[in-house]
Amino acid sequence: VPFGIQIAAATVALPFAGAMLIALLRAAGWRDAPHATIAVACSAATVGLAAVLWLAAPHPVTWRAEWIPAAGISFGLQVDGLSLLFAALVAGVGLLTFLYSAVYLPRTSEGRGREGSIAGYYAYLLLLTGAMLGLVFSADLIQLYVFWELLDLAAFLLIGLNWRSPRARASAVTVLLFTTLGGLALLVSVVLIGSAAGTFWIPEILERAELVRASPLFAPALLLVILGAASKAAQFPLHVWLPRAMAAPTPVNALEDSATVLAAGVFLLARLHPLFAGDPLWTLPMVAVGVASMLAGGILALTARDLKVILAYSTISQFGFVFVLLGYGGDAALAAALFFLFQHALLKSGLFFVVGAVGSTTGVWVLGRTRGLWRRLPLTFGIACVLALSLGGVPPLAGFWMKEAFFGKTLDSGAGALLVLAVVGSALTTAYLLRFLAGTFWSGSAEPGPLRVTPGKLLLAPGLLAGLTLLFGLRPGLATEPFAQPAAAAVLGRTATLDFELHLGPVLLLSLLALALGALGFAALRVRALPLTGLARVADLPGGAYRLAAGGVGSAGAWVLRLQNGILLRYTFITLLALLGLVGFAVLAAIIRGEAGFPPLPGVTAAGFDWRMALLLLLVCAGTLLTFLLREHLPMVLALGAVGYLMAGVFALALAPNLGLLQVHVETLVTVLLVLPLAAIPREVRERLFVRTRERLTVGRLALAGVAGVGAAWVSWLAIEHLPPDPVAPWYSENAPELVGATDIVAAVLIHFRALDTLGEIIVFATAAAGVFALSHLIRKESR
Amino acid sequence: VTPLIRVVALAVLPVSLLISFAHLLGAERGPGDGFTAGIITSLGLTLEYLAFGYREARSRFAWVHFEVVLFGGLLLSLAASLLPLLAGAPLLAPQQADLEVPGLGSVKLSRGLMFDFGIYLTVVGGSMTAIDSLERAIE
Repeated sequence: VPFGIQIAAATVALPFAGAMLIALLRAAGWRDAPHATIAVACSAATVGLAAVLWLAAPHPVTWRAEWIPAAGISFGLQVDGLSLLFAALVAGVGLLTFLYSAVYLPRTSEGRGREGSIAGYYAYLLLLTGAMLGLVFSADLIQLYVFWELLDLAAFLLIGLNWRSPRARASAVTVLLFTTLGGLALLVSVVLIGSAAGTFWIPEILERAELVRASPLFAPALLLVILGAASKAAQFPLHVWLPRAMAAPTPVNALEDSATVLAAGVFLLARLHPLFAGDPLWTLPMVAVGVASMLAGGILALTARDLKVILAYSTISQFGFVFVLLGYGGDAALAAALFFLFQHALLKSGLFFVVGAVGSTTGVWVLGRTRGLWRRLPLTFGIACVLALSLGGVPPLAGFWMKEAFFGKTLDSGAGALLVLAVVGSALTTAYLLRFLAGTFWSGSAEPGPLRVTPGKLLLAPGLLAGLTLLFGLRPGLATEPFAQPAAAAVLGRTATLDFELHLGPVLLLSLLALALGALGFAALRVRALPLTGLARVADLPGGAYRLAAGGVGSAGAWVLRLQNGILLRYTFITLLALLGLVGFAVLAAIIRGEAGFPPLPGVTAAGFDWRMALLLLLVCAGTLLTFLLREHLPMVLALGAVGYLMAGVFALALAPNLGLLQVHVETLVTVLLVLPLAAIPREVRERLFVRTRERLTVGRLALAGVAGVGAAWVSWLAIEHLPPDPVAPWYSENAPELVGATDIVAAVLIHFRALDTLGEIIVFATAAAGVFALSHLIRKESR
Repeated sequence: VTPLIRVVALAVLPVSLLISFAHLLGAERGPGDGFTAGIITSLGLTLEYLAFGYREARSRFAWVHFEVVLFGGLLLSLAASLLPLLAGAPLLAPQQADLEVPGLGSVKLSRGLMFDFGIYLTVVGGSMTAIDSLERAIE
């Protein structure tokens, strides 16, 4: 195994191992103590390994092992520029997140699970980083899909961490719904691509790109990949989950919105870029989704009041820019998209860290309640300004180059309308970030109360990120040459250059125009001159649709509850009705097609007449009738038991001694099980219940019971008449001794030939017994 | 409940266990199998409950947790199903091994027997868990 692969495997395995260790320590009773240390240590080691991988290991390199050879699925790792770019982001932002959490969590109530333990927080966060690292090193599409879903799971657990809050629970479910929808789309497209290419191994798929493109499966696969990536990257109209994900602790948002969950969608698109980019079907949906997210996210960020939700909408909008760039499809556009994603990850995680610092020191998480805060927290304000203005596209910060690259590629695409939309989207970014800064630190309706603590160490991570954005702003080559360009080159197989040189031209003009428009928009907002409410309503249409659908599911649930009202008689009625409908439909259809009719009555001959069997069957009928006519429960159960014993006799006469034997035993046990609870009910109650049941015995119910009984008899009769022409039983009897060494045909079938069925049946049996156990516990708990 | 019934109940329990084992061991050669055997053992235990009252009868074998028996049996059956995989055979394939027991001679062990014993334990555990739960709920 090559050196690079060993290091990559260790990088992926380490966070999982850390999560496991935390889980074990938690099970041993450690609620708080070592978990943060373990997580930080794991994360620091991951950064170290990633650095070794980047600096010392020769790449690109791939390694492949068989996983499920029968299905052509392998397990493998791929270390190249693209995976290294994302691994660097995950490891780096991850380490900052863990360090930040170690200071942040003790100051707030966030991140605490059962019994106030923080073990879950760190374990799930490690799981999140591990899943993302596994995803970026995956060389097989099925393997990639597995890590993709693992990422969903970790995000779900983190958002639902505060499980006592109904809001957090509902948010977690929403996130799971949307990301799993995308996951399913991805799975289908993976299978389509795999069948078109004949392999799931990514390098091979990319080699056979021509073959895949010629396949009729290509178009649906392409659209489903976009759907999957768009749901993961929270793109319009599947962005609804991201604002709700803000129920998670703030450091989690910092990691999710920058380098992990949303970035996974972009990673997938970048990885499969050579397969799709340049296809006419590719550009339109990608650019449309990107532009819609860019505008909707921007408008909603301008109207939201919650600090974290503003940043969430901002993330939606920024990933919209990345989607547009990927949609253009050129080599330089891919490099620009990766540069954009890289810078955005640094800025957005930094902004979340700042919001966490402000929120935890002031206790205020909404806009406009902390007038004049900048005077009390000057350093926080400074860092926030650098980060927000950078994302807003102000030179000489890195965000300026993000917008520069974006406008450059848009100008190259030559679409005039797109240029206008790009300027509007960029101006919206500037405007909402100015509003964010002003509403948090400057103006507002109320002064903040006394500060609980000073941000102190919480400013280390955002301060570092602010420094980085200044550095990358002054020397953008430091970000493009080691990160963005090698990543794009690894995908494309040829170099893609991004040159950031400032020269007077249309691109610079567009950048300045967007900045000016943004500032103007912010000013107009201050005097309430923008028709924002209407626009926001349009942008939030998907959210409204989701609320409507969720409400619909709620009312459907209420309707089902009305059906399931606890009256057993009604359950029986509905079950029988459904059964009659289904079976009756099938039988009627068969009659209409002429495949079934009333079966002929068996001709009774004197020689074939068995008077013992006839007598037993008559007694069975009499017993059944008696059960119906009796006026008390206990005798009814006993009469039913008698019918069961008589049936055992019928089985014995019909040469099925095994069945007869079992029937006797089961009948006895069932009778005991029925008598036990009945005997425990006082006699008066039993009589009252009985009278009430009799009162419900309407004509309709009698008719239904009659039809069901006659119908069941008829269908059994039909089944006997239509036995398959080539029964399997003789084969079993002939081969059982030789094949499985059993002379008893029943045992041979039960424990050998159809053993899998038996296994399924005892699982059902055990589940039913566990159900009785759980119910009785519930009853005892309630009566206590 | 007469003293006679109690005596009968006491005598029936070991007999029912014996019959169960006969059914289990002879499953592949004659009528009866793990399921029937499980029901027979449960019936023997139930008769004990009826004759002596739930509390007294249950206290005699309070060390038996039928939930554990239930899932132990299920796990045993699962293990028996997976066993052939170790030998490279498909899931649930018939497998036999002859075991030399000093003083008894050769004993034939088969995957089927282990599987059937798992079924037996599942059935005993399941039905007795149900009866225990009902009794406790009634109390």
